[in-house]
Amino acid sequence: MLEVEGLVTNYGMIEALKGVDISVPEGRITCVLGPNGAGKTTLLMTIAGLLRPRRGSVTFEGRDITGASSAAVVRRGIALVPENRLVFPDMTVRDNLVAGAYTRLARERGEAMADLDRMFERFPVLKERAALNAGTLSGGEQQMLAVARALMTKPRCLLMDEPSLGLAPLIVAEVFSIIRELNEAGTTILLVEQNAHMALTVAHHFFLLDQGRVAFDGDPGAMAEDEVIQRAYLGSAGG
Amino acid sequence: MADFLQNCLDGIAIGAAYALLALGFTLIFGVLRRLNLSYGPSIMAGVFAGTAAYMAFNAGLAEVAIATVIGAVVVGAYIERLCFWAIRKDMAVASMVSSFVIWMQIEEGVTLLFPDRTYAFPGILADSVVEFGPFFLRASSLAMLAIAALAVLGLLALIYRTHFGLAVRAVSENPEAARVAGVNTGLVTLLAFACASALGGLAGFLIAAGDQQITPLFGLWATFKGLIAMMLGGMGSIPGAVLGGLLLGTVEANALWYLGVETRDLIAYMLLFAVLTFRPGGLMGQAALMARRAAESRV
Repeated sequence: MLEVEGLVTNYGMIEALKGVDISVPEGRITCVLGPNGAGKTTLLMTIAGLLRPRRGSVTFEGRDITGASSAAVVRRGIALVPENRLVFPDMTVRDNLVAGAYTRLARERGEAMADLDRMFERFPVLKERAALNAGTLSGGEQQMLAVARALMTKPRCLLMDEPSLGLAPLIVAEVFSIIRELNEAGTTILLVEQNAHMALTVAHHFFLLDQGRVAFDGDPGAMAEDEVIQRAYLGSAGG
Repeated sequence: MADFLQNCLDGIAIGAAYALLALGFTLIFGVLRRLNLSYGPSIMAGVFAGTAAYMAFNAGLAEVAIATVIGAVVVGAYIERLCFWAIRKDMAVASMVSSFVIWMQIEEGVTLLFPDRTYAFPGILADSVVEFGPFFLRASSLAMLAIAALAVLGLLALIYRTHFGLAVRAVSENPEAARVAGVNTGLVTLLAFACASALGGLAGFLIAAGDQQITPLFGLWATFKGLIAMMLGGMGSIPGAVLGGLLLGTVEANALWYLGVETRDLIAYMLLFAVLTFRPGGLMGQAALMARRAAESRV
C-alpha cells in the first residue's frame, strides 16, 4: 500500500536517512524500531510531506507522492500522529478535532461532523472534555486527542510517531489496544516506537532502522525479542 | 470629572482606530511569530491610493475607502511575499530587518509619486457635533467608533466562526500541527496578512478622514500606535489588542488635556514601560503565556 524506496532526507545539516526502503502492506501493522537518531521521525515526516526528500520515492496506493505537500498527503488518505502529540493547546478539544477534519470541511462538512460524534463515542473522555482547552488535558488524554484528530482526516493509512512516549504504563497499554482496534477496523498502520516490547506485541512486521539505514526486517518471531530490544535501544554499535 | 469623562470619550474614539491597527499587528504576529515593522507604511500607501482616487476621479467616500483598503492589501501582500514567505521561518530577525528595509522603500516610493508631502483627504460628515447630555463627540469620531466596532465584530466572527478562522488559530498555535492536520499554512498566512492589511486600511481611512489630510509620515505613526497598543494588550491576543488600543487612546486623550501635547507621547511610552515591567506578556497576554507554559510542561 505504501512503498518507500531509496529515501534520502536531510534534517538540517545531517543526512538523517541514507537510502531507506520499506514497504507497508494494506491492513497490517508495520513497525519501525531503532535507537534515538536512527531517522525514525525523519522517515515519518518525509512520508507525511513535512520534510522534502533529496532522493528516493514514496508511493501510496500506486501513486507517487514524493515531495507532495502535507495537505496533499492528508487528502490522499495518510494521517500522522506526531511525536509529542502537538495538539493545539489554547483551542478546545472540539475545535482540535474539527481542525483535524480541515481538508474535508469545505466539501463534506456533514460527514465530518458525523465523524466528530463517532469520535466522541469512541473516546468518551474527549466528549467529557470537549469544551476544555486541549492544553489542560493529561498526557494520556492529549495522546487520545492526537489520535482522534488524525482519524478525523479519514485516513486509510495512519502514521504514528512514538505514541507511548512519556505515558504511564497503564495508558501505554490502552494506546496499544486502540492501535490494535483501529487496525482491526481496517486502518493500515505504520508505527515508530522506542518501546520495542510493546511494539512487537501488535506488529505484523518490523524494520530495524540504524543510522539512517534499514539494518534488519522480519516478522516478530524472526529475531529473539531480547536481541530486537537491544538493537532497538543501542543500535548495531551496542550489539 | 466631566472633563475626564469627556477625554475618555474622545480617547475611546481614537482608541478604536488604534485597536484596529493593533489587531492587524496581532493577527500577523499570531500566524508568523514575527514582527512586521512595515505594517504602518503599507497602510500609509493604501491611504495614498485613496487620496489618488479622490484627487484624480473625485471619488466618493465609499470609493476612497475601498481604494485605501485595496492599496493596503496589495502592499501588504508584497511585504508578506518578500519579507516573510521568502525568508526562512527561523530567521525572525532577518524578516524584521527586511520589513524595515521595505518600509524605507515604500516611503521613498510614495514620496516620489506624491512629491508635495501633504495631501487632502475627504472627511466624514463635515464637522457636525453630536451631543449626549453634557458630553459631545464629533460626528466623524462617532462614525470611527461605529465602523471600528463593526470591524472588530466581523474579525471575531471570522476567527471564531469560520473554517478559515479555525485554520488561522491552528497556524497561530502550532504551525507544524496545522500542517499535520492538512492546513495549507502558506496560503492561510498570506490570507491572514491580507485580512490584517484590510483592517489596517480601514483604520488608515478612518484616521485620515478624521484629520482630512495625509503625509508619508503616517506610516511611522501607524506602526508606533499599533505596536504600542498591541504590546500593552499582549502580543498575539485579540481581546488584548482591543483593550490596548482603547487604553492607549484614553490615556493619550487625558494626557493631552491635563499635561499638554508635548507630554502626550511621553506618557504613552511610560505606560508601555510600566506594563511591560510588571506584566511582560502584556495585560491580556499573560494568561495565554502561562497556559501555554503549563501545557508544554505537561507534554
